[in-house]
Amino acid sequence: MNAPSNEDLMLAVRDGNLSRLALLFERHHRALFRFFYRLTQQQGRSEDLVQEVFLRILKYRHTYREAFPFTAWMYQIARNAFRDAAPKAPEEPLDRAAFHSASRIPAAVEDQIHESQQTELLRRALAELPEEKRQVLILSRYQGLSYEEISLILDCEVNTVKTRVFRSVKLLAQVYQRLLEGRPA
Amino acid sequence: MNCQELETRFADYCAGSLNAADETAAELHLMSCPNCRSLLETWRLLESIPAPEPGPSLRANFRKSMDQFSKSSRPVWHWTPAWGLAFIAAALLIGIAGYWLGAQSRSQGQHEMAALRTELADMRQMMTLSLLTRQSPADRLHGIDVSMQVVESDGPVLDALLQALDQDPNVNVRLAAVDAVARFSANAKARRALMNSLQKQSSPLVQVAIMDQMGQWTDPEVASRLKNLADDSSTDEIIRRHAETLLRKARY
Ligand SMILES: [Zn+2]
Repeated sequence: MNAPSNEDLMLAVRDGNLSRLALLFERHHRALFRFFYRLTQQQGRSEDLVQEVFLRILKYRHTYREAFPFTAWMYQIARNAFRDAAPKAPEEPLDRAAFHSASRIPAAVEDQIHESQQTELLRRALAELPEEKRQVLILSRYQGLSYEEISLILDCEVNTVKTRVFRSVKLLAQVYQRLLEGRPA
Repeated sequence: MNCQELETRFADYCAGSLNAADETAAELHLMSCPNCRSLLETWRLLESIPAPEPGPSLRANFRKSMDQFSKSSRPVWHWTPAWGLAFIAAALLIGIAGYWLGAQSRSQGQHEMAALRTELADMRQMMTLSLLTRQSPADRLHGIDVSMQVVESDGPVLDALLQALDQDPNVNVRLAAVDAVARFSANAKARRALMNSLQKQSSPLVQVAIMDQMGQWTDPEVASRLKNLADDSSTDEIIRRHAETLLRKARY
């Protein structure tokens, strides 16, 4: 038994076999959730957005074009859903205990904390990037997409994607460095 | 290679898609240039930012809104969660592996992968077994979901799935269990258990799902079991017809 391709499933959905969306959901909802989580840092909002994307896929199923990579189409919809959703106040930030009590931590675990501090600073640096740069980095670093697929999502040339990846990393590295040194923006 | 040349190749270098000569040149430059190296380190460090998994309510809400959508638009929607879960296993495994491989340097990659695979396998087995005992049907569904990535075909995971198949009070869980068990249909024990479960099931949905699985096997017992169902006048009408259809299709 061969698994049907995403594209075949989406064509079936488009042509009225709505139950096939369940399989597309199973395949993609986790990656999509993490995409939104990395953008928003909010669990509930990310889950709502995943829900919204699959509803939009249903609503706009007749606009799906044959042979267009499904994941690229899905992330296009995801970007639109994210853009359309009014930003809400951030949820309670993650536990920062490690930072408040860092001076009293035994030396043995200091390395680990050092590492998690780095990660936390990088997370903040990423959050400071302009929306487009942040999305380019999330799409290319975490979502398992090729630059070709990303070029479809962003509707630009593949080489443009590569340039944008470089520029986004460069800016991220600068912001991260600034945060590491404790300088203000 | 200088900084400017690296700039145009940076993305491909990160993706591991440069040709060997360019890759070596890029590595030489990275060794000698702290600026470019810091970019690469930043890119690599990105991997350490964690992201959680979605909560179990996400899938439940998806089903709810699908039901609402189909009720409000047209009556063609049939929710069939069982087969829906069947294909994600391989994709997930490859996805995770690829992700890790990409994050490791290539020479280290192979070793790390083997260790990682073993660790993942153990973790999945534990997760499946623990989730299947939970109170919430969504958790148990998730357990079955995780079991889809378990490779070993005869062990505690199969036993737990068989128990869910026969005894779980929730029909969605039993449906999912059908596909999860059917994944091991190369194993005679799994086939036998599925066929025996046919009589124990109260929901025709589950029975149909089991019969559809049986229709794909070459096991000689399938025909006689289906014939019994088709000939028995006490069999539910839907089930009897379905048995007849399968028998016709397979030309037993
Ligand atoms: Zn350089």
